[in-house]
Amino acid sequence: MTLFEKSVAGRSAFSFGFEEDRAVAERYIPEFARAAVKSLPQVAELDLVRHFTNLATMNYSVDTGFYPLGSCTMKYNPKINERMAADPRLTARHPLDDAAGNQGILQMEFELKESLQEITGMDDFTLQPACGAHGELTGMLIIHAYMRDHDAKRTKVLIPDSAHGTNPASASMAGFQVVTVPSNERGGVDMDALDKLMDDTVAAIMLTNPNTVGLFEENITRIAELVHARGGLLYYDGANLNALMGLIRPGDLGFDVVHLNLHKTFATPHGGGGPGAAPVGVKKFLADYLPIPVVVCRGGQYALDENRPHTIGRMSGFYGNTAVLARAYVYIKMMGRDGLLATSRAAVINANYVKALLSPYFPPAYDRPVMHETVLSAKGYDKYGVTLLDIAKRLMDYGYHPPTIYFPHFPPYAEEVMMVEPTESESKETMDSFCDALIKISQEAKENPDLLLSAPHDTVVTRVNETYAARHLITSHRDKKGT
Amino acid sequence: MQSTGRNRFSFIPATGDEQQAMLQKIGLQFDDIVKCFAGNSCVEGGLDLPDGLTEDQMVDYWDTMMSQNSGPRKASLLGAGAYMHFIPAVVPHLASLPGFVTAYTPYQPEISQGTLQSLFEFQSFMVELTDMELANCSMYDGASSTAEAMLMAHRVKKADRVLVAATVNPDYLATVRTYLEPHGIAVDVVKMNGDGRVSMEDLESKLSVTACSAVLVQSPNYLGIIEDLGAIGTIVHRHDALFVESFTEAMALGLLKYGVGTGADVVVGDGQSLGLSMSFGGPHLGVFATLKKYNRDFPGRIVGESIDTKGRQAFVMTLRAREQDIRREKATSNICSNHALNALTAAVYLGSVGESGFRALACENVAKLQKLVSGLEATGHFTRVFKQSPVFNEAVLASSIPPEDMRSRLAGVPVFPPLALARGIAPEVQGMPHTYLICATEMLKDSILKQVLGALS
Repeated sequence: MTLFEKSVAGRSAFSFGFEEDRAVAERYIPEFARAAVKSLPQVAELDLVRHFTNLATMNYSVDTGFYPLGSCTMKYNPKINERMAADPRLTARHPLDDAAGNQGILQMEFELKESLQEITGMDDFTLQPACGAHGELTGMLIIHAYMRDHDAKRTKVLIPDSAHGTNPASASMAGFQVVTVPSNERGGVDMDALDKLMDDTVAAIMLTNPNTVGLFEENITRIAELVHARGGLLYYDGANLNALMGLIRPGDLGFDVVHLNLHKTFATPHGGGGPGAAPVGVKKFLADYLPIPVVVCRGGQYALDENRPHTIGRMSGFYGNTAVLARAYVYIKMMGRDGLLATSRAAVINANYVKALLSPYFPPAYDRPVMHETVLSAKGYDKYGVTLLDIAKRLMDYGYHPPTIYFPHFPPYAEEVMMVEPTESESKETMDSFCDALIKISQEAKENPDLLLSAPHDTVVTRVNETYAARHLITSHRDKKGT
Repeated sequence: MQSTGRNRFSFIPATGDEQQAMLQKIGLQFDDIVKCFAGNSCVEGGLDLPDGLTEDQMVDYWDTMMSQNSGPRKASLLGAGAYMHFIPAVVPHLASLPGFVTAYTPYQPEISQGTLQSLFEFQSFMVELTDMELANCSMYDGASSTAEAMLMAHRVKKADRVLVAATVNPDYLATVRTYLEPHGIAVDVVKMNGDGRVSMEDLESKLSVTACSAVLVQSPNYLGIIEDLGAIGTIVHRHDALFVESFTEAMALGLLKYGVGTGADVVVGDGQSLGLSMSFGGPHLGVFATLKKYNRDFPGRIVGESIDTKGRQAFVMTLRAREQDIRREKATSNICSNHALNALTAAVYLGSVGESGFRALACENVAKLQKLVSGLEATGHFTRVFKQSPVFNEAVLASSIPPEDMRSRLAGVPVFPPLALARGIAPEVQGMPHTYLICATEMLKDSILKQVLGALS
């Protein structure tokens, strides 16, 4: 039941020292005042509290259990981050107030920038992008503007078939034509195909490394040399940086532009779909293209620099998701150099451990060590009439969030694959129990497939009818009233 | 890369011994795994970062740093896209429940009903407040949402030209330019009239030259003035463009007309005023509402009501075929994660203030600004510019007080000083060479107002 359906006329959770002053609208804005909105829910404060508290219990979350959603890096979100980010000295600051009044926040942002530069090996950063895809768009707009100034015939962007959907969508939104590069039999970029495609109309290649199969791109040095030699740039999608901190840096591998997902690698909570933050780092020759304003430090004073002659402009109304940046800042400060290295090391060990436990039941397509996540196949179970979706739904009955399913889409991964990312946050016994559950489900598939086909059984709702939703298209309370 | 028996990092549970046991099961040493780096050596000597802080050290460090900011403010004369409003305690309490905060995008509806239903409720609130047919479950902020609306209009109408009112927030305009530039879409600015509103004559004539995909108008506009959206909508539709209405102050949705009644095809804006703190500019909340006929064209995610296998009410993401994970480069937008938790916050806020409260708050904002303006005019140092035009909670005032002076006079008053406007935005007033965009909300209690007027008299 929605809050709208719980409304009782006359109830209120409103507690201000004034009531509607009807004369105001008539006196000051006679022509433009709307009729009162008469359809908002009317509830008392406790109604509201129970409603949302109960809704929160209807979510699976990192705080309640194992969330091995591949590519999403659902690591633990430290509570100290939340406390710092809720500091009124940050939350109550107006973005347009003088820099002199915001020195603490600007210092935090500047130090965050410096840390990210060190972690990635890049020369400068913007903290403005709001989320991964926004970071990709920012990075690709930087490349677009650079090429417009230097080599305007470069209108294409190469993207491996294993990439996230946001990569081609962002490149296209930045005005580029997308060309797909196939993968080779070892799960990396097909070098012959790249050699053929990399001509003087290509502006850049977008790579995720480790890629979406959890594999480090073995040919990265050759790719970088080839692309640079033919006048292109390298874009690094940092969605999977959690595997590499303190081990290897995208800047050292030859990448010219990177974006990072602070809501993945740097432990800021995902919030059921954002807000995140995705700083974009560039090599020196691109620093003038960063969106304005850029946080700088001059003579011990922090400031917002608007003077970037080649800037791509603005990506948002202000300067980015400050309260999210603050959480990531606290995380990096607390982990320090050794902690970040230990994080990546543990993330890699955990992923390989899960792979070792599950391989006999759900074979990986490539017999190679993985980085932070592993892609496993459930193809063999179709002979019992069971799909990967059924296996995933059954996992819920065992108290787990399913891995990412049916991604990536490229051959030999065209179907029935799950992407498991345990992250460094999980203990050995959690991973053991999770793998035991999957192994048990693989038995159930043979012995009692109906159990999977009708799963989940123990959730607040059973499988939700997507076709019904698309056909009836009820997307608001107003639609409901009409039906 | 030696491991020790004791784990020094509280966010990593595995001990050295456990990691050894896991490596044994894997059948490799860690160094064997990173051999895939293929000759690219590890970072020499490790990252050049300081050692990690303990939690108590972190609190001290943070405290020292944040004390460099100015002290607390009880109200704000500064608006221009971010607004200081009262946030009931129930709002951050419910919005920080870990079940909401530490969940991912609701790809698995059976265990994500909490997020899905709250987003459905947010959409329902937005449909009512914008008076539109369909609202998505959020964009990043008002500026990016506005830019996405212009891209959508271009997808629908395909004309490589759009018009933007000169009275739109300049940072919104800049964002629109950034998004449209690589597609070769021309952005022409429609002039402002002497009354601080968009010129209907210039709009009509610019629309008559060549085809346009969209016309963007903000109301209340950057100068705080309420635009005649209905009249503008009529002109826009006569020329077969999409009409995009934008707002920076969501509180105005309680009192002003938007949406189908004024001919809008899209209503976009920022929902920060709906229970979200200013947080030095983010994260805020992008609102995007449109008409059902564009349900294949709009960007972002949307939640629909459905049923489960037992016929019970259940929610699920729908109209997914527009999105990047399915359509890749042909998607309506690249947006993936949005500002879902802030959408939930806005839903809690609106549930809290309710039907009558939201209207009362909107009226109170209008009344406070009027009180502030008349008080300032009474000092003799201020006069309102665009006097005849209706305003919501911001207005442009000319003043004899220069900006440095304004700051120092208000230094002892717990308010953010108003925004000093650059020359040329508003017409010159004899003897009052400085112009300010001044804001008042329900936070400007009489006692603070008195202090403000005292300091500026």
